[in-house]
Amino acid sequence: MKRIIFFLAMCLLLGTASHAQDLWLTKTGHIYFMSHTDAIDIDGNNNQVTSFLNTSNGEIVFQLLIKSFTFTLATAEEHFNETYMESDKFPKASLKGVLANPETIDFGKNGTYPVVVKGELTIHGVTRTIEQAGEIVVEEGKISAKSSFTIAIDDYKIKVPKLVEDRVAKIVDVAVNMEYLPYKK
Amino acid sequence: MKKYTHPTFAGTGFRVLCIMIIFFSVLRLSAQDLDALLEAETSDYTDYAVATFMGSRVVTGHSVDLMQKKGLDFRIAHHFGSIKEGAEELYGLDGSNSYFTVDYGLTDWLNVGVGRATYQKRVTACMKGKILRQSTGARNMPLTLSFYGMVSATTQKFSNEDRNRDFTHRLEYTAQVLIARKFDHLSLQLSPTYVHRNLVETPSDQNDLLALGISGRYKISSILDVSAEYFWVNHANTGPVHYYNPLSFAVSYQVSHHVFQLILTNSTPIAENSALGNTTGSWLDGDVHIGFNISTVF
Repeated sequence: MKRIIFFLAMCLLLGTASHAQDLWLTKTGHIYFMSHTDAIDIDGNNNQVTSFLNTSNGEIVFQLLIKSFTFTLATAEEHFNETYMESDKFPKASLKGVLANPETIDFGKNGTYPVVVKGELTIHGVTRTIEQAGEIVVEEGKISAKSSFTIAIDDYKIKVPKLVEDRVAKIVDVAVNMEYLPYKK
Repeated sequence: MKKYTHPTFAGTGFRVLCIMIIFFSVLRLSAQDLDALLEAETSDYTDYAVATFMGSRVVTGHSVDLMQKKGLDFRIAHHFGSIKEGAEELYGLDGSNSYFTVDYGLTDWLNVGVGRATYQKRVTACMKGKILRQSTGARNMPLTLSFYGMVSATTQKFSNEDRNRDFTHRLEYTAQVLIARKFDHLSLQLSPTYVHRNLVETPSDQNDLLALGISGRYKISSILDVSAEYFWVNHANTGPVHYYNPLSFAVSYQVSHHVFQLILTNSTPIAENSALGNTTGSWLDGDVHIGFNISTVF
């Protein structure tokens, strides 16, 4: 009986351990955006992006609070939240996706792996299917995910008042950088 | 002695256990749905209220909002003469009273500012801080609370030469607690205020004034709002001059980093100490002034 209990305990431990290793989490992921126009450059940073990566099936999810974006330009925060993103109405943005080619990545081996993420991106209450290229970097027990892409603000029904039309880019550059650590419950 | 002489028992038990473990692992896996995990991990977000008012003033009085760190607000406030003056004075537009101010964000929660007002040729220095931020989520706070303190010095020469010797005679102080809540499109503010004046014109004028401001704004669109502001002041009004409570209305319009406010008010002076202490116009007598604020944020 003792042996059985020992076995049970071992199996449970192993089961939990291997399972935890599949799940990677960051709560301090970084997303940067830049709206470039001839009139003005407006950029924002969000250092509180939460993201999970499941290395067993390539599932990857992101969530962030629109109000967590900070700006160097005074008044940009107010306009971003009040006028463009309507963050009281749509407080969060999210991506629920999967890596299209998880089998090409060896999460146990250091290296840089090009990936394609397919998923549903929700911004400003509008959900769209996207497919973006990025890369996964495995380095000494850490996994990071990086991607740069563009977002057409019209796609997400983000309206810009006519008077400031030339000050807000129609296509916004976005850079994503997540540094995951093993998820421990 | 020998506990494990019955191999089939141990074997069966082992198999059953293995099945159970697999079963529970699968159960765990489905329970660890990533969406649910994500919701759990982001449940500690705090959602702070942004832009309770359109800028640092409601109409002429301060709002709970501050400049962000390194933000600089250059503001030209203007109250014209009384519209009662009629067509000859272009309904007061020929006379003017201005208050230029510069407010700077030392941090996101502490601002300092200086100003110059036409009324009594005053220079002002102020400090404004945010103590509480309205928020929901992990941190729940129903109100935003800021304080505002201002010292104002007149640079005018007193007609009584004795008065010019002592600088303290030139000083007036304002201390305000600003308490506001943003309800979607509507924001409301209460502003308990204390004004102290070291020297007043006549013995019947009070050195200490207590006031309570009630102000609000309604956001019509992301670039347009209307606001109103009323200060009840404990004027004793025992002297020859009757002082009134300032009541002001504004339509505000925001383009990029500029805010324009078109104002109707019964107050000639603009800075808090003077507006609360020296408003002699009455709405009921039609002694109303057109005014404007232009704010540019750098």
